[in-house]
Amino acid sequence: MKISFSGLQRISLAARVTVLVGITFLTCVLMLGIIVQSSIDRHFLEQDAGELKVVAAAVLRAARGDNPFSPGADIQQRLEYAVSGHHGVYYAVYDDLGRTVFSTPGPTLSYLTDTVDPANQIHITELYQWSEGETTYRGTVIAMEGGDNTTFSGYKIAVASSMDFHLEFIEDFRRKLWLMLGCTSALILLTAWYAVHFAHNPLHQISKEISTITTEKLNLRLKPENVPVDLVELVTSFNSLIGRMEESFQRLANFSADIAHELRTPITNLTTQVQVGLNKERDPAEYREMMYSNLEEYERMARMINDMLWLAQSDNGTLRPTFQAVDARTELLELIDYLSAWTEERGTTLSVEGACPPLKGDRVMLRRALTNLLTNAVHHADTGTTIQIHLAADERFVLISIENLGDEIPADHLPKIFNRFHRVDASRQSAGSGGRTGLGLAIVRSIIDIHGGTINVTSQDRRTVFQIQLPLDSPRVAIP
Amino acid sequence: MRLLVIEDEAKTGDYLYKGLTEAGFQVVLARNGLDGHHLAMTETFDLVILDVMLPDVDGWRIVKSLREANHTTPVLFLTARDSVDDRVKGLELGADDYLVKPFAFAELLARVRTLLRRGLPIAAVEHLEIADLVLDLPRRRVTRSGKRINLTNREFSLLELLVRRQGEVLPRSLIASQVWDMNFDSDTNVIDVAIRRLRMKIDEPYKPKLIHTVRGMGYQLDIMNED
Repeated sequence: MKISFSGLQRISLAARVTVLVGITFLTCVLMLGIIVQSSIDRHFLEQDAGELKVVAAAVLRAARGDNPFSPGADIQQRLEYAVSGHHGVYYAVYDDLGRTVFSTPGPTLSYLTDTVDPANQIHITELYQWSEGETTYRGTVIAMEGGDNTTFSGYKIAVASSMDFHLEFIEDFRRKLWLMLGCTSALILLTAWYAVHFAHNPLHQISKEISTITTEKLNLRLKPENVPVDLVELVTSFNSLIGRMEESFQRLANFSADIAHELRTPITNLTTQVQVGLNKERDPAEYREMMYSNLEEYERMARMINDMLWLAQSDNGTLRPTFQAVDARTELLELIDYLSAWTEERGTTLSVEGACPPLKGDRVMLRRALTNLLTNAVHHADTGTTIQIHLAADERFVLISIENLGDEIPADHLPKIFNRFHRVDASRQSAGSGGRTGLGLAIVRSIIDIHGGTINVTSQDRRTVFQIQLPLDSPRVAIP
Repeated sequence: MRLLVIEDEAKTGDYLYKGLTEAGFQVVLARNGLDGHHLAMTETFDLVILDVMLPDVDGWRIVKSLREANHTTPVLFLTARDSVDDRVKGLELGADDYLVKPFAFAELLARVRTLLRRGLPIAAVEHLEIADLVLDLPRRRVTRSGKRINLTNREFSLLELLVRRQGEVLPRSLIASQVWDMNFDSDTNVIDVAIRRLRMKIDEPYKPKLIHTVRGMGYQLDIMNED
């Protein structure tokens, strides 16, 4: 059952349309043919009936002697000339005992009187059709009502006409009709089939274009303006699919490239250091020093890999934040407490003002984001300054701004500072610089994205401000 | 303390064996899942450290078998895949803790000790003492050589952690997590600064020095016979 169903589903669109159009059209043509044919038949029947009526009337008049042109002639003669101008018409008159009074040469009309009851009037429903020899006749019998003249009471008149001419015509007409309808049907089917194929051309075209889109050419898009309106939706959704694929591909490619690039330097350092170290005999303290130095580098790499993996998971939407009520002020105060010893040593202070209602968020993630922002601010703050954290809220959002005084971020770097491994100070790029991985702000942005919030940064007049807007309600937004 | 380490990666296995043995544990190393499974089920250990991605019998099966056989041996699993599913799965199956590779050996050691300590009755002491340092826990007061030392709340927590785990090397990440509830790496040397300040208060004017830096690993509080 299932197999045959899927078999049916796989029938080509062209075949489907052709079969449907074919069935519909053939039914119409068949009905049309039948109607035309029956009308023609009826038309001839009526024509025959009319002719027979005229003949019968003429015969009747002749039999009665009403014919004004041959008043003296006897009934035989009268009947012989009763009908003129009609071809292939036969008639006969029988008396009340069934004897033939008169009969034109031709088919045996007595046969008619034996089988058909005489009527008073000729009516198309009472015409009788038979064949004799190679000719087909149509005829009927009427009673010869004499009116006041009783001489002919009981007499019958049989009239018939040859149908061969009509039949030939009908036969010919029927042949032509069906031939014509047949040809038309074939033409229509062919046209339907072709039309469907023609209509499929854009599909073939699209398919051809799609087949050119390889992983290296994911930037290609189909042009919705080049396809029939019916296909615009298909093309648009295909384009958006490719768009999403391109994005993921790009992310993947960037990820690999970033990792490779960021690991190359420390690995070169480590290799060189170990090779140089092994070059000659050294005292144990030197070896130990070398190993400590290596350890730091390893730890930095491990931290970087962990951060990269975290970002990859965030990109792939496999991180599962657990949303709970988080009070930003409490968290910030705790973070400040955590960082206080360090900030004091650096000669900076952190201060929070304002308050906001609790928001729905992942506490660990938000702490991480805020820590990264705070340490970033401390790193770039001038000694002796205070980093101002300001909290505010409206009905829908919590607003957190973190402001530090210090060297500005150059304007051309501003849009890029949330990119992974982006460093404003290029010299920091050298490995082992304070263990910073260059991923801190990228992680911040990821976390804010996960919470459905926004973050932006401004930097002018030695004042750098990071502004975060977080929705109060748990976002439940799927991570792209 | 007898530990079972199930690790198929040769170098990791060797180093875990060496490191844990040097840390004073008696270590049995199984280099594949089958042996590990057999050992775990037939012998008694105080702790099992296992890699979840083993080629034959995977780590999950071993944890499952252990728990189904009602062995309560703590299990610490190591994984290279840092996915939430893996962690949840491991903990649901009855593992007690996990570490994601790459991990620091000091971290592993600290976790192992935490797990081994778990379940032991915590002595309901009011005072912790080491050398002439005394911590009064209920009142959160510290004296050294009888002199009162003023510590902030966090400094006290930090000192308490170090004293309670006397002799253990505590990695920075563990300190951050236990004292400040910071469960992620940060780009700062906050812990170093905090330790330095604590040192200035409790160690600087006194002998013997109690807080020691174990370079590359973390910090340790102990009485050392160096001076």
